[in-house]
Amino acid sequence: MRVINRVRELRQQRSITQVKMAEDLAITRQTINAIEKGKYNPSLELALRMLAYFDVPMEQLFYLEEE
Amino acid sequence: MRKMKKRYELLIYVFITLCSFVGLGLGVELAGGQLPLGSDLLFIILAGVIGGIGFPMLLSWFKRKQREPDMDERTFRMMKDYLLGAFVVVSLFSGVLLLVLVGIGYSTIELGLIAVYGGAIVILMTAGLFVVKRF
Repeated sequence: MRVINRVRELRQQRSITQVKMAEDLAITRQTINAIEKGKYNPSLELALRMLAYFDVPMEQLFYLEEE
Repeated sequence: MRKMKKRYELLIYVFITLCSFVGLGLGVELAGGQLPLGSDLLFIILAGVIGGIGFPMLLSWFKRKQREPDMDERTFRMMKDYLLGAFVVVSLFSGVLLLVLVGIGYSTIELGLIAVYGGAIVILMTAGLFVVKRF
């Protein structure tokens, strides 16, 4: 089952650029791009940092693709 | 703008690599096709290590003013995967090469050839690491 995320949606809702988010989370812009495109699943640590950054519960940011 | 800067950076690296090869060619030409031995070889290896690894590390140390980091968990994972893959490929290739050499009748290998082979592998793997790091 694939992990779906709503990172791009939430980021655009808050008018945050990829560069700004990368700087705030201390990760590279390429990683954010890969996460948004679903090419890379972040570690638990990074996922928790993202939840704190967007201030949303887990199920709102990451969920499993329904079959 | 950032993309442009990265492109220039890549061009500079390509230029430096080309210069290195021209320098190598010139060196071999001037030395009369003989590779250096003993302490000369050690000095060349040390200069290569300092110039090829130490200097870029020093440069990146001074470049750390930007807030966005150069590497993160994804980069480390990709580099780890790359190194693992490169290790398997190099091991297999070396094994096959050895079998072929034994098969065609070689029983000894010159130490200089092993040094050149090892050096080429290190250079190729380092270049590959830089490429992986950029993705």
